[in-house]
This record gives sequence, structure tokens and C-alpha cells, in this order.
Amino acid sequence: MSLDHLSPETLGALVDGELSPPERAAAQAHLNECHDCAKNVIGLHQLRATVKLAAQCNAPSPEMLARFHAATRPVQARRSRFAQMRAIARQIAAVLILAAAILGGWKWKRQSDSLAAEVLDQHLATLSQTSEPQVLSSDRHTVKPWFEGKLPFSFNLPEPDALPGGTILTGADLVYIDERPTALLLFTMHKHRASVFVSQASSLVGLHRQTQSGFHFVEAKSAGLEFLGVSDVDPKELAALIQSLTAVQ
Amino acid sequence: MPSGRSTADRFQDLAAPLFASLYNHACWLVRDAADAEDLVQESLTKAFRAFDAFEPGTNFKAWIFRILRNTFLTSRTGLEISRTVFLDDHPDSFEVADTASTPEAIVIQSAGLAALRQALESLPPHLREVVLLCDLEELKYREISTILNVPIGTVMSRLARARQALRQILEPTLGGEA
Repeated sequence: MSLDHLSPETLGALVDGELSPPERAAAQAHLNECHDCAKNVIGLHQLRATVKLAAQCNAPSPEMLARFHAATRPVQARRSRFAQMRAIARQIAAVLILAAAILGGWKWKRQSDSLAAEVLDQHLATLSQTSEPQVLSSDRHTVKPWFEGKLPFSFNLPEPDALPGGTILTGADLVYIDERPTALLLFTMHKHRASVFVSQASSLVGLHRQTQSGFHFVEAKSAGLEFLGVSDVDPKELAALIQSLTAVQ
Repeated sequence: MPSGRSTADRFQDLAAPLFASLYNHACWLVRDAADAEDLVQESLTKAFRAFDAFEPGTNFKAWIFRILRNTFLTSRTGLEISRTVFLDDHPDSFEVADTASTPEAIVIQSAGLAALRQALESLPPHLREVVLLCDLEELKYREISTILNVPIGTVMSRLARARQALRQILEPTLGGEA
């Protein structure tokens, strides 16, 4: 191809509609005079149209599309389920209020059941191999600043050597428990995984249970914050982790 | 974006129409249906988690295709490709890859789409993906540049060489000059 011809890049940009108006006008003027370049443009148009047809050759099955849909609403699905549970709990609570003198305590029991399920569900989600936290770091100076502006409170993280033996901070997430923004801290404890939820006010503690589905719950309050640990590790070790967190607040 | 709808709903509205395109592109990247589904699943999960970082008004398709590609590059197959030295700066040394597996005689005798599909498969991955993003997904050079993390000039040169290679293979079918 002689230097007088349009370059392959210019021909491509012309076919792709990427030339500016002056560039396009200059190219058109050249095409009016140059049979070879005009023929090339026609060929490129043919090629572009044929590539579009030929390359669209892998269609997902309806079942696969359904799985893709499910993948895009994991949190939504969980929240919907919990919203239903909360609605049921509220209805039960309304009935209980009528007999508050006798049955008032049940209201809190039902709410705590719903909360326990929500917390446990969040923990189980972190155990999924395909689930990655938004912050992947064992550096407390990376994890803590990440929450700035995302939470209406702040909290401290202990030095790595202040954590119980074999315990490592692996990452963090921002989650919503009972519709409150909550920090989720992720730890490995030997070969176990532990989630610690950190929140404000009276949203976490008061679960009135220590185990559910084989997972242990340990809760504590410190400096106006609430800490709730969930793991299948020995409850004493989980308590030591919670203690190490409350100690630095 | 409407504020009354949940994040999941807004993400679903934008992502769902692209499922088929993402899967098709993933198939071209990994060349295996099961791996392609895994790649799309992982990309959708990452995109959903990062959706807060998406700037409304910008091109969602380019954004999520970039996530798909970055997810692919961290896979084993992707890492192998990323270690490949592309010859962007040495166009004279470019040759169509693996021409032995796509004998020209077969290409010439094959009609239309099947021949082009085979020609696309014979292209080096970095040339194939740019022509797919441009011709099939109809993304602009600027968007492709963002997805591939290369300058627009590189997008243009890769496109030109990809098309030149395809036309060399398909010249008898298309009737044009390479």
C-alpha cells in the first residue's frame, strides 16, 4: 500500500464511526479518488457485519440465565427473607403486646431469633469460596480507614499480637443488620473462620442464645459499641477474640 | 438513577440485558462453557459488590466488561495470556497465530459464518478480544481502551491488524482485498 492510501487504522476508524467530522470529510474526499481504499472500506463493512453475526455463537441456557439473575441479587434475596421474618415477628409482637403483662418477653425473643438468623446468614455468606470481602487486608491501618464515612461511628482494632494466638484479621465488609450499618470484621482462628459484627446502640446484643446450627455467638459492649462474634471455633477462643476487641475501645 | 429502588434492583436493571453478551464474551475468553459460566458468575458478584463505585451516567456495559476481563486475567488461563508478550510495537513481525490448525483450503471451502468463526479462533487473544468488543459489542474506541487498559492508538492498531488477518483468511469469501 502506497503512502498516498489511507492507513488501515484510518480506514477502520472510518468504518467504526470514530473519525472526527474533518477527518471523515478528508477520508471521504480520498475515497472519491481512490478505488483501492473505497474497495477496502466496503470489505471492512462486510467484515464488521459478518463478525457480528459469527461471533454471537454462545447463548446461555434459561437455567444459566436464572443463575446469573440469582447472582445479582444475593443481598436482596437475603433481605427479602429477613424482611418477611421481621414482618412475622412484628405481627407476633403485636399480639404479644395485648398480653404484655404475661407474654411481653416473647416479643424480644422473636426479634432476637430473627436477628440471630440474619447474623448467622451473613456469617455463612462469608464462608462461601466465591464470596470476597470488600476489603481484603490483614493490616488494621487499611481496614479501619476503609470504614471512614461509611459508618456513623468509629472503632479501634488491636495490634496483631494482641489478638488471641492463631488469630488473623483477613478482611472486612460493610453490612446491614436490622437495617443498621454494621462493620463486619473477618478473622481466621487456626482453621476456623470467625465474623465479628460491630454496631452502635442496641441492635446486636441481647440475642439470648449462645449457639445456633452449630455456630457459637459471643457478644459484648464497650464504649457505646456492641460486638457480636459468630464462629464454629471453641466459644472460649471466640470470647477471647471479642475481649481483645473491646479492650482497645 | 431513581432513588426509590433498591441497589439490587438498579443493578439488575442494568446487568440483566447484558447476561447473554457477557456469557458469549466469556466463552470467547476461556473457550469452555462451564468456565465461562463461572467467570460470568464471579464477575457479576464482583460487579454487584462494587456497584457503589459505578458512576451513573457512564457506560455500564464498558464498566462490567472491564470487570469481566479483569476477573478473567486473574484466572489461570488469563494469567497465561497476560504473560504473553504482544507485538503491538512490531507490526511487521505479526503473523496469524496457529494457521496450521486452520488450513486456508478449509477456510476457502467453508461458507460464511463458520469460516469466520474459525478465523476468529485462530487470532491471538489480544487481537480477537478487540475485534469482538468493537464489532460485536459495538463499544467505542474510548470504552475499549478503558476495558483493555491500553491507549486508544493501541486499540486502533490491534483492530487494524486483527481485521487484516481475518481478511487474509477470508478474502475469497468476502471478495475484498487484504
